[in-house]
Amino acid sequence: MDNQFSSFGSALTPQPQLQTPLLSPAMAFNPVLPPSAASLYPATPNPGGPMTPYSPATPASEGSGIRPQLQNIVCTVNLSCKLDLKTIALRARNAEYNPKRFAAVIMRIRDPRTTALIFSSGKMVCTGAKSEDLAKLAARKYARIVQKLGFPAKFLDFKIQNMVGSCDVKFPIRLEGLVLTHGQFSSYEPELFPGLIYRMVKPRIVLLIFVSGKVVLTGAKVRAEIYEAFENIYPILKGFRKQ
Amino acid sequence: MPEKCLSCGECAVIEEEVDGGRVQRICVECGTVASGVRPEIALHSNTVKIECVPFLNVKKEEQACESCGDFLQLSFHSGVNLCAECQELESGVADDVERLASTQSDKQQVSQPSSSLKTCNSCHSSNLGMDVCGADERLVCRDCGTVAENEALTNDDFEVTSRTYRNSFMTLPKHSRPTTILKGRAAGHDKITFIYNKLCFPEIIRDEALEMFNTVFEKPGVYFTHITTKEHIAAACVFIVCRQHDMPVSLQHFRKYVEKYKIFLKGRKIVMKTLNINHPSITMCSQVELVLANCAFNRAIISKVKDILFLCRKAWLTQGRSRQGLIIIAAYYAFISSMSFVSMTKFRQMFKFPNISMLLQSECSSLFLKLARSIPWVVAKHIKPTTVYKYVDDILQYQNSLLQLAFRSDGEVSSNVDLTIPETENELDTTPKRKKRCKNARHGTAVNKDVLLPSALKKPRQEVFRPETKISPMVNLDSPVVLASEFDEAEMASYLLSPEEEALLRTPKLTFMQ
Repeated sequence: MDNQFSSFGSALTPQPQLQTPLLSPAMAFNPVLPPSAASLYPATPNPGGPMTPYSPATPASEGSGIRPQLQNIVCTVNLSCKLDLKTIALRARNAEYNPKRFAAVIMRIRDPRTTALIFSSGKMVCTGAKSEDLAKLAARKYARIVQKLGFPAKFLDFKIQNMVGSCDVKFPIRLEGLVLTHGQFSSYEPELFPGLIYRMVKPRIVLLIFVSGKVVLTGAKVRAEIYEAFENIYPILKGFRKQ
Repeated sequence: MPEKCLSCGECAVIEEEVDGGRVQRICVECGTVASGVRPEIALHSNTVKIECVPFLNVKKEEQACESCGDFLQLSFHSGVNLCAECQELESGVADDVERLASTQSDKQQVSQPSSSLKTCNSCHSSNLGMDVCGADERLVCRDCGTVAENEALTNDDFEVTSRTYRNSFMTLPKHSRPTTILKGRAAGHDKITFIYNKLCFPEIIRDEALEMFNTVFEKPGVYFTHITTKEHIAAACVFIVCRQHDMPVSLQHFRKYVEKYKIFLKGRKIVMKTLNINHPSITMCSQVELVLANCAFNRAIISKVKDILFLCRKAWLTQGRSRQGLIIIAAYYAFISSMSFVSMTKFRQMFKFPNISMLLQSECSSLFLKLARSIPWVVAKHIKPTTVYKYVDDILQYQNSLLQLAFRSDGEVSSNVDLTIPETENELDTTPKRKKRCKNARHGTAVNKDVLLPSALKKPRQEVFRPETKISPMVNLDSPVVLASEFDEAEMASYLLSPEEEALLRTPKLTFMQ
């Protein structure tokens, strides 16, 4: 992609490609495609033609072959009973409670390796699990621990609030080029954070893209959103691969 | 002759003088206070007629305005609980003043306490309206602007406790605001003006920043914040407007003019989230002039700085790194290659540059050393960090060839980097970078050849192996009831303190909680 940018010595700022805000990020940039796949991908963006608004028409057969791994799941559950946090903190081995700092007990279990925030209203937040089932299992274990402490805890309204995944595209990425062509969706402030923050519209996922090729995807409610977001971004990243 | 009482039917209604000198008609037999309707009218009809205002044909009920407490007449089905003046203030429709005044005057004759001052003393206009300033209400002539006499006190005939004010419910106007919030707006404006003056921005930047701040000021996320936060939000507005105008300002430039940099960054996020905007990023090239503004470098040196940055970009040293640091390093090499050799420390002192990352500095230095040693007509062993400056021009002139010569195997290695499996044992040791580089230079390992990769790719990360958690078939994950049989009791018991441990730890835990 070096030929896309002018030399620094000529003092020219690389010109970003024009992009329509409502278009899918992939549609705003035409990646280099193998000839055999040319018919499977949409043609070069035609301003007058119909466009898919938020996601590119990426055929399943042309997938990246890389599956993001889930790293963290945040879920909530209602234990449906009022809790005495002081009692929990005094009798549980793995609990922290500092009411001056935070109005919840912080409890941890070893398997699954998770952390829970237990509030006096009976609501609980559980983080750290690597899959949906493990998140549910961990939440049930916390509920059981609370039961053993003498409270009539139940397990109601379990809901996954956020899922975080990560993967590696195995090649370095030119972040400056990506932010110039996809400035509508990207934010790149190396003084603040070394990665590029890409806010995908559909699915509504935030991606952290690093120069090493590592990608972190967050903001998903279901696993499929993470997979879909990565399949959307992969062709764009391939376009900014070092050649 | 006593009049007939409408309540008990006895002719026992007499006129008596009550407190305050008033005369009231009271029935002696039952004590009923006779109504204001004259008995001769009541004799002709059994029901007491309610005097209706001719232009209102609906049943009225008196109610107090939620804002100022004035009496107001509402229609039976009216859902409005504000008087017309407060409604006008709510909607901000200045053009309806005359209409409201005309309708209000009719209503005031029926229900509201009458004002003794109906015309302006100055221009004798009857176009009077209430002006709210803080918690103070004043009657103001809308034609000439004269503040009329204070109409707050409308009836001073009685004792102190029974005085009636215009605001008979004695409630605060809805639009009265504490002065601290107004100070926040003023502080934000002052901050914008301060930054505008200091950084000499165009006037349009200041105007747009003020407009942006006024817009975001009314939002709940900003309105109730501390005055210091509001100042930093105002500074963030200036930054965002500058970026929207493609001015290559960086966050570091604003660091000097804000008291708390973290709050400034937080303010930037608040503004972007509240207004749902995103400011464009800037290229490193565009920041060169800004960073080197106070150095008085000539055009040739500036051009060389940009060439060096381009070279560093090819070597993957610029992505995700501090731009200011890179520009300073590039300026250093451009300076020493054009002028005379000075150390980096002295160079920074000369031009008052801030500290830069040692890691970045060493990576750039090693790149130049590597490229200089690849120059065919140069003896490699003669090239040292203190003499590499002599070859900067040659490096820039023949950079593509030198990159090929120096990193011949880079094209093979970089495309097939497997980060999960380390290639040699050397990649896992923790020796300092300088020693490791020297060691690898002697042994010529694969790590040494991968200089043209981002630094994050040079050290493969070791994955931590965690045993997979198995879910017992006894566990029904979807059941709302958690049974004791779902989990191993021994495991659950391990998370609880024994009675002895509990007694031992009770006191320190209680102390910690307090």
